[in-house]
Amino acid sequence: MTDRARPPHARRAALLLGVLVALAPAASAAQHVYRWVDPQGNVRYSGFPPPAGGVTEAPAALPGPAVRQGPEPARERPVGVDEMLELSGLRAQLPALMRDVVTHLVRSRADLAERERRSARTVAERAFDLARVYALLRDEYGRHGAPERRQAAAAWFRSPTGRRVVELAVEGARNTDAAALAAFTHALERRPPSPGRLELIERLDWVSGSSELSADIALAVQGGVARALARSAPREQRPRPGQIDADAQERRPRVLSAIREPTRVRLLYVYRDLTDEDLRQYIAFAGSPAARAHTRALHHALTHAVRLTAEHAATNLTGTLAPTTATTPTH
Amino acid sequence: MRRATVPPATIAGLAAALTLLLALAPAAAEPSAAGAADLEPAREAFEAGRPVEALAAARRAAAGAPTARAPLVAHAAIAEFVGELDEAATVYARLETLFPDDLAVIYRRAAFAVRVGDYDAGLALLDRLLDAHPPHVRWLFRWAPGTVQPVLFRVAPSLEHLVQIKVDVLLEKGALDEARRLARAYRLVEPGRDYCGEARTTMRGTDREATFQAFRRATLAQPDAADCIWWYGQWLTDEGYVRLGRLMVAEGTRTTRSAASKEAGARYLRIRLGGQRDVPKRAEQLLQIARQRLLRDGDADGARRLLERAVTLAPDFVRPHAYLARIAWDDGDRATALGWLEHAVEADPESWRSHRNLGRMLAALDRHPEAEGHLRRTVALFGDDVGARLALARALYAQDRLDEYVEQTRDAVRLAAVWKHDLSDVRDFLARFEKWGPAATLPPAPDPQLILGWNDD
Repeated sequence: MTDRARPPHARRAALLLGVLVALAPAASAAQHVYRWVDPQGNVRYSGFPPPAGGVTEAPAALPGPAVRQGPEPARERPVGVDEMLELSGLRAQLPALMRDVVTHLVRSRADLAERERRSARTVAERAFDLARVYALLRDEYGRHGAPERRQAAAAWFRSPTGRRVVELAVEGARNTDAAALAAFTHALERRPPSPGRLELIERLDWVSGSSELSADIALAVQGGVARALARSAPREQRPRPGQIDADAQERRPRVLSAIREPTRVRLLYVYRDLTDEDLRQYIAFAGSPAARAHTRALHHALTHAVRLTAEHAATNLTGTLAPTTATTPTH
Repeated sequence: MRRATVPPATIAGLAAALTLLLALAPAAAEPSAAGAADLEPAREAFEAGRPVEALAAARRAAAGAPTARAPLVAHAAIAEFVGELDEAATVYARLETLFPDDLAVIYRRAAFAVRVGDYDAGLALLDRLLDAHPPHVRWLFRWAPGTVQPVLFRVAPSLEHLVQIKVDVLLEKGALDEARRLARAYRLVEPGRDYCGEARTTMRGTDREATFQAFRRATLAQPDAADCIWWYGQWLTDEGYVRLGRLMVAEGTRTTRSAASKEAGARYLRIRLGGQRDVPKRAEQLLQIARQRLLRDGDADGARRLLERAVTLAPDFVRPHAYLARIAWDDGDRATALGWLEHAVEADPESWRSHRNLGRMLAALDRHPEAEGHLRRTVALFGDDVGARLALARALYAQDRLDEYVEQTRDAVRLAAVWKHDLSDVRDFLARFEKWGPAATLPPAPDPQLILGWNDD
């Protein structure tokens, strides 16, 4: 799909995806999800080995090379929060991510004139100060991450495939511009990827929650802005309690649906140099409990940091702009 | 002026009656010019939807003309409207002293007495209003057959409003037979008409007043319509009522012949309406008014004060806790929000809604094992709760209890289908999970409002 052909929602969302795509990359070889068949013939999934009588299958029927089992031999020291965020490439991607979020935030204010837009950008950039956002994110990740699983996830990030995946993600976040992506998209139309590759990408999106994270970041920006505006609105015009969250929940399936396709294009682009075999390994790791714990904590931390910062930015923005322009954001 | 928080029929009746009675009021009771002029800011603020500001203006007007009727009536009425019930009571007492025979004042005092649960005083004041009508009208009202009453009501509409209010008072007192007798005697309901059938149709629409009226008439006209009486109680519950909701559900439960329905009704009273816990009318009214200040006026601070008063009056009345938690949550004060819900669960360990709210809040904080406990309790209390099952499924998924996630999700999808509600995003997530195994993202957990009587708070 070309950028022009996409609905506006998808185009806006796609702004975020270049950097978000790599935030949920990987996990440990040490753990996997057990898929097994119980004595009644039902397929079961669990993070634990099946009880006696269950027939184990390969982890989620993934073709390709077997994922290495067993604990990582060498490094036993605890893995700190900063180290995890470094290893997973989050720190390196954060500046690009924040740039995109600021763009998204400013564009969400379609009511602003060009001049106001410029000052809005300045205010938003100031609010999205990297050190501040990182501190928020770091604290939240520390609260929600599962420290006992970090070791396993860190081991994979240090593996050759892990390093390669993170490298590509960081590169994609830093250097993907709209023109390059559009050219890639056009090329895809001429020479579509194989069905196998597409399925791997679809599966990577599923297992890493890339689309979901993009949708939640977009909604976090909107929610933060809505909260800030609600505070400055006349009492009788404020949303009822819980309404902002309820609206976001109601909107989420639509946002997610609009984001999926551009996310997959982006994944195809960012990981275009990975072999199918590398992708399979990546997917296997990303689906492991340690990877999911890491990704979930990161997802939570990132949306939390963006929501708070967007609210802070929007509050400052509302104070800066004339009252007539401080209205509800467009979504 | 906007309406106060009493049942819609009562509101309509009271408003119309007030207009009529004001027209009937003797010239001697007209407000002084000074008092009326001072009231203008209060009226303006009130009509602009700023009742707190209106109250401040009314206080000033009343202080400036302490013996004028209009400022005092406005002061009392607005204080009542915003939930300052003690202040309202004080001003009404002053009005009673200054204007003992003023019909508008008697009317307002009657309405206030009903609001705070002083039913006998309210009924006595309504009788005084009846006595203000001409003797021949009173005679016809008391002695003419039912067929004549609709004609009389066309001539003196205030009489119909008096009857409607009396019926409401009798319903609230639990004197259902008497309320039905009165409704039949004054032809508020027609014999042989299927109001219950009408209510079933109306409840599918969005007109709250029409739904209320249909259920109320069914309750008054068809004593055997157990389901309708029960639905009326559940509808009232969602609207924030406790006492009348309890009475109606209890009546529907008593009347039904189905043993399963009797069991379900008893459970509803226990887990949704606090069982036998005493909920003073004043506490219920504070909750109602707080809800309006919160939901309609966006006045979280004002609502919080009223809700805290309600909790002080009735510490184990858990519904105010839910709103206090929501206000704190919206303020970003997670600890206080959790504290209110934990207190609610302690105060009423069988409160389905409190466990549900606490479970969902803990899940939102990623405290999934704790959330699971409360959500399990929620679905144990009310197994048809689709939203709670989905929230439980999500909490289980977060803990890698994937079989249990599948089980709860399938149950939720099946239950939602009974109510013709398609959980497409939930099904989509489950299908992908079954195809590809678990993902990093937690499954969606929407909270559809499917069953009348099990929503809100």
